Amino acid sequence: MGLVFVHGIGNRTGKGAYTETVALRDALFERFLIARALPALAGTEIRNPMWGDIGAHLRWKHASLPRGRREKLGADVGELADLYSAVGGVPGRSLAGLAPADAVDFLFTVADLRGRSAAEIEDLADYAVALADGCGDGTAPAAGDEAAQRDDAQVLDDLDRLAGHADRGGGDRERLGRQGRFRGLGRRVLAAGLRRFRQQELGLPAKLAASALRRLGSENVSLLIGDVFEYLTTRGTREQPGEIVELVCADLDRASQDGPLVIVAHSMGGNIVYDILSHFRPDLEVDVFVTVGSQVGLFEELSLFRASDRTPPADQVPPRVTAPEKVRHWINVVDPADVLAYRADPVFAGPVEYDYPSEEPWAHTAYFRQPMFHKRLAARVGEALA
Amino acid sequence: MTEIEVDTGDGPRVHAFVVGVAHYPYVGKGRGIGPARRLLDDLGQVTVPEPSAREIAEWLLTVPRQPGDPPIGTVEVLISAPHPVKVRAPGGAAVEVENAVHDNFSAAFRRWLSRCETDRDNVAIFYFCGHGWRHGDQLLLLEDLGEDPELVLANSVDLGVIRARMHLTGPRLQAYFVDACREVPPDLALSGSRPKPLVDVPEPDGPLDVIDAPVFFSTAMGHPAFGDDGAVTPYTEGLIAALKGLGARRRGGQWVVTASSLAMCLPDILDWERVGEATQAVRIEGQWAGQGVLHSLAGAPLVPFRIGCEPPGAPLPERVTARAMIAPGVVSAVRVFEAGGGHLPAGLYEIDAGYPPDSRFTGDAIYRQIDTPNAILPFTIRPRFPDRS
Repeated sequence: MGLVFVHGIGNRTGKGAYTETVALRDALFERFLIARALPALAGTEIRNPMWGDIGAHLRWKHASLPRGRREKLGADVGELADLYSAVGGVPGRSLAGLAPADAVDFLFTVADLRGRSAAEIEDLADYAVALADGCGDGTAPAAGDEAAQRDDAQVLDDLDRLAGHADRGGGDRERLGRQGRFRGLGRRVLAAGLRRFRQQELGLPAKLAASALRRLGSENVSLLIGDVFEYLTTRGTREQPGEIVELVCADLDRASQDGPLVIVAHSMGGNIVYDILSHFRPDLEVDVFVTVGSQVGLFEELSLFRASDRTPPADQVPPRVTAPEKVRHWINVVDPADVLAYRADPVFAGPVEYDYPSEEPWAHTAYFRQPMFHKRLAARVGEALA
Repeated sequence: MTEIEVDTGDGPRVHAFVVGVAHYPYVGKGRGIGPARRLLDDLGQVTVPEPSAREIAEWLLTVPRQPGDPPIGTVEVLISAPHPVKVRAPGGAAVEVENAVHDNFSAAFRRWLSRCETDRDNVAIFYFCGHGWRHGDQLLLLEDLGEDPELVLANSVDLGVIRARMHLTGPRLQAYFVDACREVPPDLALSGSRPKPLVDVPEPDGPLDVIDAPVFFSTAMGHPAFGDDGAVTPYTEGLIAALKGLGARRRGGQWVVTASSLAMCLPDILDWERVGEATQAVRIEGQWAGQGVLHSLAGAPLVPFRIGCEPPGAPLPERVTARAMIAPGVVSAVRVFEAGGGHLPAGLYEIDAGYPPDSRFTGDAIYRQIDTPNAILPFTIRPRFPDRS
């Protein structure tokens, strides 16, 4: 039995904080999904097939992108502020105005993971567990008007207390020494990420905000389109599978050597895995298949899978497609704020749908950074296997 | 070596050092660990420093100087871009310039320093456009920044060191123009890195001379600076417009650009071009911006003006007639403009708002001194009542 994570579009080794992001995601899987729902997987390797490196490559390095954008003569850390601008929001949101669970997810989303050491990642993951547990079931309301006036440092202190309380098992017993398992590194990473996010609010000329959508729709969208086309045109056939299919299947095979599989797939990764399970490798036994922020439902509506029915659609709505036979449980998670996430159950018979409503413009890229998401995912998988 | 000699004869001269960095091969590549990695990854490639530095250099190399102004002596030019960069030298020849790596900067700085030290009445001009950070003083980030990510700031320059050294032995009039971000990334403090030494700054052996040595920053401390892809930055455009005349003030019958007139005019020039836009705010720091002349004009500068109406929202006149007044009742020239505004040589004018005879509105003539850097002419507009006589 093994856990395989299949990433979505736009991932490349060495791009941004890819290595650190994988390390944190693995650490969070170990502490939530594996520890709480799949204890048999404790100590086994989490496999992360890196298909992005053999995905789309732009020969002229994005030369076809219309530029004409405003340049900044210094650090350009505006991606998150751009997201807010693009959806007409205000970057300067109050952390104190959020419910504790939302504040925790927000902090982990804006954390800058680049260059973080293994110790920092591990501490951050421990801190995530304590914070998520400190937030209970995540339904605590946002702070009242008075508490909402607290500044960032005060809110971080509040969350620190919440985490410390949870780490002590919820009791008030004091420890004469270092408090809790975490060493303060995680909190420092979160504080630095928040400070960096706040910097983005300073002095952004209006023209920059107006072009935010163009900036966002730049290289990442080119990669998104490129990766989708690259997969569809090179996936090959069952007899001669393409490079991406072979690479992902190799990890699925390795992970399944000791029994059934647990596959978590994000975005385009979900489409690739569904294509594999429904056509290339229908023999693979999968205990749990989790698609997150994925487009499997849309791709099936468009008959883009190898197993899809390509006959012209009739007027009446067809019956739902049967999910791959050897997939025992299929969970599809959609954040309604994620413009790239599609429902599966109206198209397929089998998947169980869950919403993870963040209401954040960065929903598509944030799922696996958020402690509360990992906590809920572990609970859902646990329920499915019970 | 890219020291372009213009006039190296005897007597005071202007010696300029112009640097533009539009090529950072070691940033955004995931190099380094910890703070260095984040610092280098946050920087992107920029194009605007190349045209901006070239524009400044070419203006300095070709500007006609008026009698009494020290001639342009030398211009050191370092410009980094992904391709070779040439600037137009006096006589029209294109000269390929060196790139702005630390070694070249260090050598060029020493040559510039030596030139500047030859006469206390020289004028020293320093211009930089490229990435910048604030860390103690202003850091100017050179092309080879991050070449060794273990010494992430090694190939940057501390502007404070340049100014301190120049204060010791440099001329009495110095002007520094810095078109770069002035943000303070928290990781700078964590990196523990320092710029590679450029020059020693010995302790002065007595009180330092009072000099004019202002720094005209394109943005406020802690804030970013911007430019539009491939174009001269708004700050540099404004600076050149100011040096050409919009930053001049009349003194003793002559229009002169001084450090202090620049300080007064430059922010207004930038705001004028970007009405309604949130802009970066020019900040002047450093030693006093005094009356030392950077540049004199041959005549009155052409000043942009716009028509303003009272009450606000009243319809603009169709045209504006401006009569230059050289003495009471003596008009030297009459010019007619479209309603939005135009350019007039600085001076006193009688200005008429022109409404057609059948218009419901009219406005009285106004007398106005059109002065640098720009003018809004406030006409009071009133309804025209039908002639009932």
